[in-house]
Amino acid sequence: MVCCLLKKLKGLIRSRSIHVSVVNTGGCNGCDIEILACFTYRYDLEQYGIYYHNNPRKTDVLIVTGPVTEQWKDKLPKLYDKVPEPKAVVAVGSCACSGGIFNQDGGRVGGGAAEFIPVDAEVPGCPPRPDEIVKAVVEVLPTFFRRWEFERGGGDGR
Amino acid sequence: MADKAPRGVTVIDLDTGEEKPISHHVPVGPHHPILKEPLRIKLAIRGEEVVDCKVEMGYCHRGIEKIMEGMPWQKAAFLAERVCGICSHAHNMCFIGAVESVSEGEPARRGLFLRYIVQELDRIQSHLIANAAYFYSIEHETMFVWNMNTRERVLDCIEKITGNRILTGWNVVGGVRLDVDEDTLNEVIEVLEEKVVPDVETYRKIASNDPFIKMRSRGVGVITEDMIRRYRVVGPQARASGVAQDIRTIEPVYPEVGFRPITRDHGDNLDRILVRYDEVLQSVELIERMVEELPRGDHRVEMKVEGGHVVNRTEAPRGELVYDMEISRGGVVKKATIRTPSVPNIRVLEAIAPGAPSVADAVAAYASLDPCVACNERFIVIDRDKDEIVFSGKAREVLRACRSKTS
Amino acid sequence: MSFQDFLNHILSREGVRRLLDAHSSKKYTVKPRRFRNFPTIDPEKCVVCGACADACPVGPSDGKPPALEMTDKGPVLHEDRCIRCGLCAEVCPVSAIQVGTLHEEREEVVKPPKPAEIAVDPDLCIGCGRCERVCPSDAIHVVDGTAEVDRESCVLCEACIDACPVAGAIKLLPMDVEELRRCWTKIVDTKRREVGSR
Repeated sequence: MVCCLLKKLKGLIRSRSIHVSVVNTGGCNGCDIEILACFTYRYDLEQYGIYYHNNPRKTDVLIVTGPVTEQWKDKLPKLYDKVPEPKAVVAVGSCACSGGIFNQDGGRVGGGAAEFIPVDAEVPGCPPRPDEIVKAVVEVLPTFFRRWEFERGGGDGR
Repeated sequence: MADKAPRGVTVIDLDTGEEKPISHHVPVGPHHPILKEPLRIKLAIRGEEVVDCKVEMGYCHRGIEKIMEGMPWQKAAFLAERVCGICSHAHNMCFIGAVESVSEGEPARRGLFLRYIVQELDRIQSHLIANAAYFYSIEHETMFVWNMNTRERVLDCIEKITGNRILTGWNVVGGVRLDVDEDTLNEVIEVLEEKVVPDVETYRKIASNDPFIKMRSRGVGVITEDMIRRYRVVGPQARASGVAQDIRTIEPVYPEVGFRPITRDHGDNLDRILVRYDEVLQSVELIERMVEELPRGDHRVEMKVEGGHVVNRTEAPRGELVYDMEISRGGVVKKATIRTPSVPNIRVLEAIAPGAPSVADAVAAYASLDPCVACNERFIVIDRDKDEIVFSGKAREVLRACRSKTS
Repeated sequence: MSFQDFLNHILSREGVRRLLDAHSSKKYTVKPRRFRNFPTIDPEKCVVCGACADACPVGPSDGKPPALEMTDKGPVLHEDRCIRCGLCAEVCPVSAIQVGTLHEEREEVVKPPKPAEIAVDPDLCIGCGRCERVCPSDAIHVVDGTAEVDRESCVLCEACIDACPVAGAIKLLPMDVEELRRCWTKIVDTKRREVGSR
C-alpha cells in the first residue's frame, strides 16, 4: 500500500517536471525551429511543466528530428544510453518517423529513429505545426511518466 | 601554437622541472546545448584563451543532389526546399528560377512579385531567428524570447499568403501556386507596420545601447576584408565588414523598387546583429513598395522547359546561393550542384576564433555567423596553396562514402 | 462561475487532474484557410488511375513503402512518410484527393444557365404519371399527386408537354433576357480567368 502510494507520488512528480532535449540527427532544421517555437510565448510548453534543456545527461525525453544520417548511426544509440531512466523518445517529423523524403533511391540515410533506438511516440508531418507537437507531447508524456513506475515494476498499472 | 609565450594556468613537470602550460581540447558538439544542429567544433585552449579551432562537418549529409537526379522539377522542387528549413523559400525560388531560365517565355509578372514578397518575409523571419540564436548564446534570454515572438507574427503573414509556416512549396515554373487577393496583402502590411517595425526598432536600439551586449559583442570575432576574400564570406556577414556584395542588385524586381545594399564598418559580432536588423527594416520597405507596384494579371503562366545547363544565383537570407544544374528537355534534373552560403560562413570561424579571450566568446562568434548546418553539407573542396584539402576529418570519410556510392 | 462552483470544480476528479497534471482540453490554434493537411482519399470517386502514386515525391526504399502506395484496392496513404506537398491532389483527374488548399478556387462552379424552365401548374395536374414515364433524363416525378421538376437534370426536350393529357398543366417558361445576359457574362469571365491561370 505504502509502496503503491510512493510509486504514485513519484509518477505524479515526474509527470509535472519533464526535461526535454532535442537531437537533430541530420534533418533540415524545419522541425527544430518548430519545436523551438513551441517554447516561446504563443505555444509555451513550459506552462505544462515541460522544460527545454539540451543536455542529454539531465533529460527525461529525447526528441529526435531528422533521418538518421551515416554519421549519426553509431552516435544516436550512444546518446540514448546517456539519458538516465526513466526516459522516453519522441520522433517529430516524417523524417524521424520513417526517413521521409530522403529515404529513397540515392539517399544515404537510415529509415527513421525507430531502427536504432526504441521510440515511444511519433508526430508525422513535414514539418508538423507547433500545435500538433504540443498536442502530442502534452497528451503522451505525462501519462507515460505516471505509469512508468508501475509498468517497470510489473505493478497493477492503475 | 607552441611558439607562443605560455600564459594562463601552468604546471611544473616533476621529471624535467620545466614549466608547461595546461592546454586542452574542448570538443563542442555534435550534440551540445548551444547547437541546434549537429556540428563539431574542436577548440584548443590554453588557460582560458582559445588558440586553435577546427570545424568538422558531415553530420547532416543526406545526399540530396543524388536523390534529385532523374526527378522531374515538380518533385525536385520539394526536395530543394528541404535542403534547409529556415531559408527554405530561397532554395525553392533558386531552383525554380534555374528551371525557368532554360524554358521558353517569361514567368508571369504578378507571380514574380508575389514570389519576392514571400522571399522578403522569409528573410525577415530568418534574420530574427539568427539574432535570437545569438542572444541565446550570450545568455540574454529576454531578447531571445522577444525576437522569437516577433518572428511568430512574421510567420503568421507567411501562413496567410502561402498556407504553411515553413516549407511552403510556393513556387512553380511560370509563377506561384495560388493567387493572393488584395485584402490579404493589406493585412500583412498592417501587421508589419504596426507590430514588426516598432518591435525591431526597439531591439536595434537595445542592441546598440545596452552595455552588457556591447561588452560581449563589440570587438569580438572581427572579420577583416582579407578574411572575406580568403574564405569567400557572403551575405550579411560580409556586409557587416563593409563589403557591399548583394546578389539582389542583379535579380529581377529588386532594381525596380529601388534596392541598395546596407553595409556597416566594424565587422564584429555587434555589427552583424545590427546589419540584420537594418535589413529587416529594409525588407519591410521593399515589401510595401512591391505591394504598391504589384501588377495585375495572371499569377501563373505555362512554360515549356527546353533543357540545358544553367547556373542560377539568389540572395538567400544568409548570402549568395548558387544552383548549378543540368536539365533535360521536359524538366528532368540530370545533375545538380548546390553551393550554399553557410559553407564559407562557418569556415571563417577557424580564422576568427583563435585569439578569443574565452571559449564563451568563440561560441558567441559562432552563433553570430548565422550558421545553418543543414545547408552546409554540400562538400566543395577547395585546395589551398599546397594542395591541401580544406575539409578535414569526418567530412572526408563521407566524401569517400559518396564516391563509392556514386561510382 | 460562482465561488462555490469554482471550489466544486477544483475538488472534483477532473479538476484535481487538471491541477496536478500537464493537461489541457483547449483547442490550440485554428488551422489557416490555405493549410495543406494530410490528403484524404475518397474511395467513391477514385478511378484507380495511379496518377497520384506517380506524382508522389517520396519514393520507396528498402523496407519502407512510398508515401502514396498503389495497391489493388486503390491508393493507400502512409502518414508517417507523407510530406504534405499536395502534388497528389494537383494531378488527380477526378478530384478524389483533397488536401484543403489546392481546390480552393474550384469550389465556385458556374454552370451555363438554361434559357427556359419547365413549370407544372399544381391546380391542373392530375398526377397521372405519364410525364414521368416519357422523361428521358428522369427529371420529373410525381410526388403526392403532383408532378415536380428537377431543374438540374432537365434537358428541356418538352416530351412531358406532349405526353400530358391536360392542356396547359405543363408549360415552358422562357427566362428573362437581362438575367440570361448577366449569367453568360459571368461564365465567360470565369472561363477566361481559368484559361489564363493555366
